[in-house]
Amino acid sequence: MSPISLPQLLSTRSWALWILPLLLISPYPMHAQAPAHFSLQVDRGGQGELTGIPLRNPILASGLVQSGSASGQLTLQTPDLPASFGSLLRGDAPCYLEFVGPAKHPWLGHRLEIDVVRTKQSTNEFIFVSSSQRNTKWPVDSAVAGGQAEIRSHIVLPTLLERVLKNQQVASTGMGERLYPSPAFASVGMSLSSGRMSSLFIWMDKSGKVLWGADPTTGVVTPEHSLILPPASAVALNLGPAPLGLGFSGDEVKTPVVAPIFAGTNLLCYPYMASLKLSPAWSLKNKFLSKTKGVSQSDRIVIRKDGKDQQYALYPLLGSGSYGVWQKQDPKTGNWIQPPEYLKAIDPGQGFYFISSRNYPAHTFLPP
Amino acid sequence: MAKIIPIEFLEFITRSIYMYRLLLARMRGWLMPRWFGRHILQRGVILAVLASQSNTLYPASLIVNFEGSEIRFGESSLPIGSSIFVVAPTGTENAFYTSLSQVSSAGAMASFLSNTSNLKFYNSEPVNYGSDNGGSPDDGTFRGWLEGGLTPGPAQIGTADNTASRRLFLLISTSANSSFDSNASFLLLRQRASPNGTDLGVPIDSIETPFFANVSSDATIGMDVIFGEFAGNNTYRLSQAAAYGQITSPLTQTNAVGSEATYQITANNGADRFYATTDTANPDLTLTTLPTGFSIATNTGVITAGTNAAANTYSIRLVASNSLTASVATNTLTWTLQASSLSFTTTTNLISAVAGVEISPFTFVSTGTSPTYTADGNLRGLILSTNGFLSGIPTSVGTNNVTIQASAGSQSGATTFSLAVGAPTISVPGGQIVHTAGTARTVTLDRTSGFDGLSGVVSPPTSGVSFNGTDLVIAADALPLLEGSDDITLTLTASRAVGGTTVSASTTVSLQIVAPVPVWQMPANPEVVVGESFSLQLQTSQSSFLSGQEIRNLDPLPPGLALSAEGLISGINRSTSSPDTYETRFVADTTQYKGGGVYTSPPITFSLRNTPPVFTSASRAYAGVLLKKFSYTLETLNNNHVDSEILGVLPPGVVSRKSGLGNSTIILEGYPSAPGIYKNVLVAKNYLRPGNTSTLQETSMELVTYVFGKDTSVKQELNSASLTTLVRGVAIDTNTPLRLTSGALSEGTYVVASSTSFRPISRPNDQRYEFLPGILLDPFTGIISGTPTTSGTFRVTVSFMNARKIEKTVVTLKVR
Repeated sequence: MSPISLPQLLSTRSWALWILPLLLISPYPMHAQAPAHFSLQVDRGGQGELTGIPLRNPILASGLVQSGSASGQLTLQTPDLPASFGSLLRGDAPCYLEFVGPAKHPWLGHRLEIDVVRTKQSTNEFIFVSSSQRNTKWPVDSAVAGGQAEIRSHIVLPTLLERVLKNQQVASTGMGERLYPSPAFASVGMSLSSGRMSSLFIWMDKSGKVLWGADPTTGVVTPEHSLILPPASAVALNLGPAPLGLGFSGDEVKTPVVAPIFAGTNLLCYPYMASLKLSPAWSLKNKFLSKTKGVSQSDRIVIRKDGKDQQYALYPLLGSGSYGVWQKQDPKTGNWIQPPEYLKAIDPGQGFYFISSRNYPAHTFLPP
Repeated sequence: MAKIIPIEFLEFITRSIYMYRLLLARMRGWLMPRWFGRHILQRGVILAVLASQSNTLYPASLIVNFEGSEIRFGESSLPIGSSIFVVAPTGTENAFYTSLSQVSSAGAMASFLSNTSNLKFYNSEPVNYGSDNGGSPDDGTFRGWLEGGLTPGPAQIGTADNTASRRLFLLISTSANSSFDSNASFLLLRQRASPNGTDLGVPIDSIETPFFANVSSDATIGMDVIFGEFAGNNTYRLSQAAAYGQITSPLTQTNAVGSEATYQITANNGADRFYATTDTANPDLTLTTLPTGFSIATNTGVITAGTNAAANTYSIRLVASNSLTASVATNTLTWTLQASSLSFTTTTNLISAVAGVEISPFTFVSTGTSPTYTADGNLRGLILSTNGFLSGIPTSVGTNNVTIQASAGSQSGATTFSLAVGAPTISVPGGQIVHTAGTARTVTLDRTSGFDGLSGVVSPPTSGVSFNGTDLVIAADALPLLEGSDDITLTLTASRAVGGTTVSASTTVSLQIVAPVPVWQMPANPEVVVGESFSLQLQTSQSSFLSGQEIRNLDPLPPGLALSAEGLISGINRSTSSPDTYETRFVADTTQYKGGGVYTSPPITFSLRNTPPVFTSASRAYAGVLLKKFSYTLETLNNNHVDSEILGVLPPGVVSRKSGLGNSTIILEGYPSAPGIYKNVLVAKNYLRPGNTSTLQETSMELVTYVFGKDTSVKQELNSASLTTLVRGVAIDTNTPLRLTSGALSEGTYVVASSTSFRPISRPNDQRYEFLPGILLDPFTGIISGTPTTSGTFRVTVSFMNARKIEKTVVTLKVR
């Protein structure tokens, strides 16, 4: 190869196509690649839907956790940020820290709620997390060191749904009509505490403002920032009768996600853009309680199809244990439906109830 | 036994010669292995199972089955009426029997064959002139059976019962009848075994041709096998010679005088000429001299004693002659006509009955002490007991006189009545049947009372239509007739088995099966997602039944969708404007069936809908404080968003404005004035339904904007390892990404490398570019790949750049 001179180099068209534009535009904003997309399309409203969002909001910061303490203070080295994360963070929206690596890190897949107010006051590499029922592990210990962490803002239900709800109202009753105080024109079910489902009735006041969980007698509404849809969780929507479409664009995450299951009713969603294969791996790994003669309350999965709940329990193929298939049962009697029907997988983004009498605090969704 | 050789015998000889030639032709083939292919032999064709010339049996599987109306020899089939030719080497009989005993389901044939006394095997060798003749070479033509050495000529059959004698069992038939009889020519030639220690043999003088013998006239008591007979289905027997040439009808008969009486001559020699005379001393067997009142029909063998025949006891010589074989059977009948001295006190002139229907019994009563009763005449299946009780079920239709004779000691009397048996009837009530397909129907036929216990047959066989003798059943799956086709004319036959016979009645009926009315099974109003595959199966209640049903749309479908005749709507709609709904009716056309029609569905409303917008613009943006103008444009994949919105507080110095077609999109721009991580929610909206502005849907996305201060560095370091491990001609391992940088590039940071000694080359459709010969760099990841093509030392300028600044480093890179 013979060397070429700089003038020759600069006159080369291909060079100009690549290098020069990069150099010239480099001070300009440059964007990450396009986000992934998920949409919920409901043909007939009013039937109720169980849905999750298998995507995340974009990363606010990422880096290596240097240290952590039980007080909720973590040191996060963020090489891509020129200054401390706290000092740069704007807004008060709830955020969380998620451990995405390395592969065998003890905190992999766990999430911690960011104490936004305290963190914003930090001028160094300190990040503060606070106790929350959404934390998948608590308290913080020194084992967090070495963990690769990402900080994102939460998906908040009002931000996600408010305009859709208004649109539903317009579509169902006509512009200008307000239904406050009664009846509620929509409701959602979500988990605001471990193993319990909370129903929130949604109202719209005469000015058109959507009130979340408003008590018509007191006017007290649920703080919107508390209506959070954490990763791997789902929400039950019961909207008006009109069809709707709801899209969400964000990041696709492919690392393990800890999703503790508590005794009671849990509303879950596989947090990946893929179907959740229920058995045998998922059932076996978590040692779910199958339905045998000696078991009065086995673990159950409830999905909603065409507006109706369908309940499944784990039928043990070996007579007992967790190696089995999820088989449809009568929700009242617990008897198997005949002829047998099986639930093999849950579609991407489809929410499902997991009803259990036991805690599975370490339950973790693994990427497909 | 005298032999009678009528003129017909010459004809018989001629036919025999023909058969002989046929035999030769067949046998030539049989001696060869190819005989064992599949052959369906016709009646009268000769078949042989031969031992090979090496005195070994053919495989036992050659004779394995006797099923239905056929004897199966391995792969060959032998219809009834054909004959069998068996030769087996001496000493192999037992093995052969063992094989035969394995015929497990052969019914009567197996039973027969398993009885070793019924079948004998003999040994012989075929003679194929002329090698066996010591003359011309063997031409493969079978010429007969060799006895005791190379005796010229196949006609000579040895008579000695020793190992040198080639024993032979040979049965040849050309009978075309299911029952072997002498009306067709037959020949049998055999060397017999030694019954009773005496070897009788076949007389030489019986040889009618050099190869054939007429042995029917030579058969004597004690001979083993003369005829083979097929006596009905599945029954085969080899008859004893003693049974032939004899009168088989009773040799005594008693009737009352004054009533007509008959006697039927029967014989077992296949006789076709009959003679009778009381002149028994006359040697002329053809005499028919009989007393007054008697007569004989020489062609049927029926002797009639008329009403004018006198009471007496007559001795009558009976002669039964076979005109083909010249076989004559003769014997003497003692026929007594008794004087009538009894009279009937209970009798009748007429008994009317219906075939297949049990009669009301009638009892004949005559005077006399304990008289016994016999009947003369065709009782048509009825039974007369000896005490005069007439009962039973007639089996044939017709009218004839029957004489009932009463006998008491030496007294007798007779009475005659007319027996009239009519045919049973069946009929379909109402005549023509018009039936709607898809439902089951049973039509019970009218029938003659008492015509019970029936089975039925329907002709022609019609799918879904059956008849059990009583009921015509049309199943629900019987298909309707095609329009333009004729109605089906069914012949229904009801049969009743009576004893060994069957009484049947038939009727015809016209059957028309018409198409049922399809009922639409409408789906819920479907949503058609624009740009996505759509599929909807329409059906009626008859879709799975009437394959000829055609479904069409009366009103337009959404553009891009098509309807198949089977009712499948499929396709992709790509509408961008109204209308957003299509109310469409469909028709189910069954006119290709009789009784079909065109049936219109209720309308279905197809609603078109868009998918929510899909963001293609990034969820993160980078800017430097007062460095360059910041700009971000909301972009969607399908570009069909009609409005947009941004929520939250924008970075200071950045403003949003509407732009794009119809001001549907949002542009953020400005000079950020304060560093920070800013979060906004972008909302892109489009119409739920194309062209319908009443309902919007949306997609949201959080946008994170990083605004960096001026005083921050890139903080990116070079990977020294990647600069020392490159080898010319060795592909860079991409399984473990080799980065030009020491770690992953920070978000928003890019790397560019250039060398003054090499012109960088871009790659179409690839974000990598070649910055050294054969070495590629991905500026977005810092990963290098490719295969270095030139070794040397290169000075490379590596530039890291992001929203904040550009940092350049000059390094030396070696390719070994």
